Amino acid sequence: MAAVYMRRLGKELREIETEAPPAGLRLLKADDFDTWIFQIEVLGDSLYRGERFALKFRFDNTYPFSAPAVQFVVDSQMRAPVHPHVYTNGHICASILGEDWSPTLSVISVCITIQSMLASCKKKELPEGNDTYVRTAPDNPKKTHFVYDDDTV
Amino acid sequence: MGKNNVQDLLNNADIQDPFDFSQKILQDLDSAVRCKICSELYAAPVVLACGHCFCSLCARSQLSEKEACPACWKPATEDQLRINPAMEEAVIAWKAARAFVVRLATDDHIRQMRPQTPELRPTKKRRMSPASDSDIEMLEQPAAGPSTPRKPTKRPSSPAQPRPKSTARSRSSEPPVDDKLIDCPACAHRVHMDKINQHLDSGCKLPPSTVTTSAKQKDAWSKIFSGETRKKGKDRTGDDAPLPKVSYAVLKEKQIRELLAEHDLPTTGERSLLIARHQRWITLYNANLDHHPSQRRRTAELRTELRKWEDDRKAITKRGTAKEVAQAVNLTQHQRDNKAEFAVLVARARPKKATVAVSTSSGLAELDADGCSSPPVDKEHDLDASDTQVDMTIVDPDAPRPKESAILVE
Ligand SMILES: [Zn+2]
Ligand SMILES: [Zn+2]
Ligand SMILES: [Zn+2]
Repeated sequence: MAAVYMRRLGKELREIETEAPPAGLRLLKADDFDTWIFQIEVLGDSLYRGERFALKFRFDNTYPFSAPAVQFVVDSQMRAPVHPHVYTNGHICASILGEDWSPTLSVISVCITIQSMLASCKKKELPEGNDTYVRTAPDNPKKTHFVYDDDTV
Repeated sequence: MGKNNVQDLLNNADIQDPFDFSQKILQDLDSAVRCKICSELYAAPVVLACGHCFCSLCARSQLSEKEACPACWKPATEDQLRINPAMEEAVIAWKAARAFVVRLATDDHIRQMRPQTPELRPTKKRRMSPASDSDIEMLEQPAAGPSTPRKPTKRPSSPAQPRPKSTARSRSSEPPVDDKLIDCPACAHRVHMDKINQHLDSGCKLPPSTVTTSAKQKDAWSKIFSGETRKKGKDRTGDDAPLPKVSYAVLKEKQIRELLAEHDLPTTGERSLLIARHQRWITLYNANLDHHPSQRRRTAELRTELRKWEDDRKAITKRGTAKEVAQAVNLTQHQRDNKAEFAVLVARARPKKATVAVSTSSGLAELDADGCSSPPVDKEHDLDASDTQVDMTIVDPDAPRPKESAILVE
């Protein structure tokens, strides 16, 4: 019996393969149960018009009880979007990837959320403290304890 | 994993999902009896205080991390879980009927795809013959007829054990047929449940597993499975009382070991492992009780599962650190196994691609971006308006935003 997380990911993959993924998303790589990569672009009017990014997911067997490690790919070809929640090393500060993760979310729903996060951005700017963070950040963004400051009052 | 790689591959063939159907209405029906956490047909379904339903094990595993419903975030605790016998019955009935419905649906789908010609005939006939009314036309259509012999789909559903007619909870619990193969705790080969003790006593007669477990602990587990420690503990299968939670903080390590010994579980390892093992045992044990007695697994099987869980837990810790140090340098056996299993899943997924695609939406979480207005759920995401998934996850709309930066943990 395959591990629970593989069965769950297998089903997610089958849905992606059977149905086309939502507009603006394309599966680039899913060769194993460890790492998947999606191409993500924001369609319609947004600050990121015409830009393409790669979103990388890393899983272990705590999935889906704990969130996958999700970040933008930053390498010789790809850059992370300039966004107040996205560090230049590709790490993303989004509560659904941390304390607000729910096991009923899926890889596609994470992609859509990130897409929406970009679509609704009003000003392209780097997160505060980007340089410090990037200098000291661990490889795996899940090792980072992002501090969310709820000042929506 | 290691040794039973091939078995894993074979067993992957039993993975079923809504996309076994090409018709959206049947996909939705199949989804409706699936847990939103594991995507499997509900196993021992339970409802939370909010009314959302999950497999008992999924719900308990989640609630031990966070005491809230993963679908609606309303507060929820393990004590509030209630079994859902109606849903369990629906799942058992659906399991029994599923392969048949897949076959009917496939036949129907193929017929729909055929060129128009055969369909023209009945219509024409009706127009020409005054005696022919709609009733007759219906009879002429080979709908749902078993007359078209087709080989069943490659993945027939496992025959579900018919549930006893009586609603009374019987004490005797013969496990379902397909549950009788279990992983040998020592060599990880699939072994028939009834043979497991003989198999272990024979020293497995097979090369030892490559699973990384300290020799001592493996030994402790083997002893348990060979029944050496049996006399002390009582086999509690059939006992309907759930195990109570334990406040480990007030217990001495020796007392925790005694708790484990009571259930014939290994007492090796350090305190944190002992506690984790006992907690997981309670979760597995209580989740098993949420099955109808005819669907419950034997205590021996639960021990096998606990053992597997412990191995996985170790694997995570190791992989985690290894990944940090040298990412993707060499594949561990585990990863290689994953690759093979993955290939099978992908192979399964691809041939289906040609079938009619009806879009379903996945749960969408909204996120309030810093300085950005709340994102509209726009048409671009191609969300199906007729989405029937009740368990849409709504993440707190006033989602937190990052403070100045991030703090490193560890
Ligand atoms: Zn489940
Ligand atoms: Zn709920
Ligand atoms: Zn009742």
